[in-house]
Amino acid sequence: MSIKQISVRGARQHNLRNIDVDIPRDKFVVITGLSGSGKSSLAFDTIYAEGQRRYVESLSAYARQFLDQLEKPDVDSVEGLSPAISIEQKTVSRSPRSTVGTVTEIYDFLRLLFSSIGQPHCFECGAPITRQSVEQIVGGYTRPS
Amino acid sequence: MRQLDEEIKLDKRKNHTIEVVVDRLLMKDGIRERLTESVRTALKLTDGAVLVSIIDGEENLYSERMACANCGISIAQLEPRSFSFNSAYGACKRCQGIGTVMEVDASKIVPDGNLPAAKIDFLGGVDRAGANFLRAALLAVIEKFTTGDPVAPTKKKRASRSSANSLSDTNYNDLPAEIRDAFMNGTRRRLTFQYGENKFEREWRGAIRTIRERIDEPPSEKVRAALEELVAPMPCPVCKGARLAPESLAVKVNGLGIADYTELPIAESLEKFEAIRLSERDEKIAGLVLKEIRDRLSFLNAVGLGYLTLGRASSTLSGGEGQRIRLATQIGSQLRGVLYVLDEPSIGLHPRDNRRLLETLQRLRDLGNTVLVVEHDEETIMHADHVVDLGPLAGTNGGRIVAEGTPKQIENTPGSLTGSYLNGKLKIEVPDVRRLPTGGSLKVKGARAFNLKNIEAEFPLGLLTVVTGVSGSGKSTLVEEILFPALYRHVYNSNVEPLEHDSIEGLELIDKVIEIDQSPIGRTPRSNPATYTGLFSPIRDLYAMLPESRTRGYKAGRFSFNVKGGRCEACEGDGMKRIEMNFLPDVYVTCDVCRGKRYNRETLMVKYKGLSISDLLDTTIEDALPLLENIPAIRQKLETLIDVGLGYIKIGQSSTTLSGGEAQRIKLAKELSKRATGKTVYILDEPTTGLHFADVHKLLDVLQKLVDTGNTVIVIEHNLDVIKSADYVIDLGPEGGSGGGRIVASGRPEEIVRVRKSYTGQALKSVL
Repeated sequence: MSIKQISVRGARQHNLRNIDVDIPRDKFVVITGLSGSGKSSLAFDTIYAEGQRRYVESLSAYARQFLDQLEKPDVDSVEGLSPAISIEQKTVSRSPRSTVGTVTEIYDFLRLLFSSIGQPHCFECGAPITRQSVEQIVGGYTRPS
Repeated sequence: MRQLDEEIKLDKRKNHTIEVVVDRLLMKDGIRERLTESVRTALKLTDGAVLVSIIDGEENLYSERMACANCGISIAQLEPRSFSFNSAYGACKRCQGIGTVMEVDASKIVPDGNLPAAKIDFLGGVDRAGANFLRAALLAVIEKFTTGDPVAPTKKKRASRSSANSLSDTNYNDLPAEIRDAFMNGTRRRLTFQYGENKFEREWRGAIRTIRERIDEPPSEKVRAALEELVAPMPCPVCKGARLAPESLAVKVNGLGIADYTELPIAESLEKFEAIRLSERDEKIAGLVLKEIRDRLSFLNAVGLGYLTLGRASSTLSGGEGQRIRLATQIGSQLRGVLYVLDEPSIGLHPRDNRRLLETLQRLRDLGNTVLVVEHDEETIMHADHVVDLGPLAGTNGGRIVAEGTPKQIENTPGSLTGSYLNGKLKIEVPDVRRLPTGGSLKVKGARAFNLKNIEAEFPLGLLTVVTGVSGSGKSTLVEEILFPALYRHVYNSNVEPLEHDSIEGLELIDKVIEIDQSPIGRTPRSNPATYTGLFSPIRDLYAMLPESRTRGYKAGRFSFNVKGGRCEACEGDGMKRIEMNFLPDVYVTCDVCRGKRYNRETLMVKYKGLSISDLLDTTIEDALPLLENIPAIRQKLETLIDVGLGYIKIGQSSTTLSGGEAQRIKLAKELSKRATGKTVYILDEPTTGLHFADVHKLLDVLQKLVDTGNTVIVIEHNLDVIKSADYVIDLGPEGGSGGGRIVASGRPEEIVRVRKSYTGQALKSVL
């Protein structure tokens, strides 16, 4: 019952010559060719763009205004698409506040880790800082009754 | 100890430490209730601190709040935002979480520390008055710190005066640290300045602050501009680049602070996190968080990024690194049924790291996703389940499917360029002869920047030199951060600073240095290959010389789409009109006046061999050559563009539509059509990025041509085809990050192969 392939029919984006192609699903597929032969036109400007466009179209008009809309690619039909995520080469962020830790969200988890089980130390003398309740202080000098 | 019924007098102008004895108890059973009450009373009196003193035993200070019992420093409740450098709660107060501050560079105030005070060229000579003042200040500091107590007996004073004299003859770097610090950062003691015959006393708040103030109130615009050059981002003096407030940095997990973890390479910090053993209580609180951290770190490690640190600013990452980070994040999401589209993930990866990347992609597929990759790398193609080969050539000669199927089927498809390279029918030949060094060379000595281990590297002139090594081994540091800036500074007298090294020999043999990268040749639709290579001027001249133009009085400017006169004014020569749709994306429509031709009707009436200027701009370079072959200036430029394999692009193709590889070759074509001086150094950083085998082949041909005319070409590259074609190879490594930064091997490719420890050498064996 599951769809076995992504079928592209009549792709004419940029220099593509009205091509039909079937991409097997759940497989590792490589598109190759010379620089300028139309690889990116097929992978990004047709297949990814169509997947993205359909996803965006399913959102409300209000939500759409926050997203960049892609042009409808010049293609007859694309079938068997699933939600598409593109991982391009664009450098992540130019902000001086963005680091490897923040973009991978590892830093967010680190913050959580340190705020929950971190052991504070005095930044002047390096001694551990603890906080004790009256019961804890007293408990150190009396036997439990 | 006083009794409360005594009269206690306190000096209200002083701070006092008052300890109050609340209770004295004998340790025995049944005191618990009284002790509790006493501790409560004590805590109430002191606002949260209590001292328990056991007679003839230890004293213990307890705190009910988060405060250091010794120093009295109290810290706020820890929250996630206490560790965020983007929040006012956690960020270092000085740099506000950036890690650097714009500060006057101390090494520019004193450019050469190996000189005594009298000879130092303060501020590099850009501000005479300021320099004299600094000199007086340095001498005053020396004076103050050697004469000591001003009321000391005269005899002793004289003795130390001589030592002040000797210190003022001492080289700056050999002065006591105390003096240098007081000079740069100021001192509380008042100094006596001697200005010629005049003496006056004043405060000294340090050279750095003084220069800052001088920038704010400069004697002249010129001095201000010159002094601003001295300001540079410096590591923040308070947090040392860690971005966080000291109290946040002092919080530890398993003995290390958060900044300690983010400063470690990912591979090492993963080991540290793996080693953490949590107590049962902590496991409940943070077990999941810790697992998440370990998982994500191991994903980053798996995509070959183990050499990065978590604290690395993302603006300094290469495109390939950024992509692999996103890839690692996606694996962590554990989604299935998704279509992932990737653009050349192998870029910038040494063959060794490529294998790990492929494993990651296969893992993504095994989770139940479709992975669609645009790629030229042979290894990636061979590992694919299904390959689609587009072509046969590029541009208008491409766009068809040439072959489709498993890698084996591609190999066996006649007519597939990719297949022919895969099965070895076509290949990049190892050059028969390697050029011999001409004798001259550039020698970088004592390179120590980042992970470089004080190395000496020699770049022979007149050869094709390839610098290689695994990711993070220091290739770019050596070439892009040391050699290129040094050459650039030498040739263009600019003030770019190469990173740390001792010296470079052979600079006098160079009169030009050019870096050729894949950045676009222009970012506006108004720039195109013709404008960039200077082809457009002779074309415009040609049109202006036609009889039709002469009768109409059209000059060359008439045929430019950038100035008024000949262009279509409705779209101002863009050929397109932008219509803003507010909350929908902007729409570009072809200009309805010129119909995308960019010129007005009159200009288009002028035709050369039946083509208007707009038609000519829309012609491919190959097709234009027969039309224009009689005009030498144009012909030569067209031919070099065809030589670099760009015959298929249009003369007037907007530069925003050119790929990185195409932009790079246009730049090379421009260089090739110039007259070679033979003293030019070309530097290319990973030029094969995004190039198909056939494109690499063409690129190598062009590079060899550049070298044949006597130039020096230095290439940073992982591509084995490029490495094997080099005359001279420098292999850095052996590992990335702190495990790299040494020269593992250097010499002809044949010599590299013989070096056992060289990963590059081992990989080269298979192709030589």
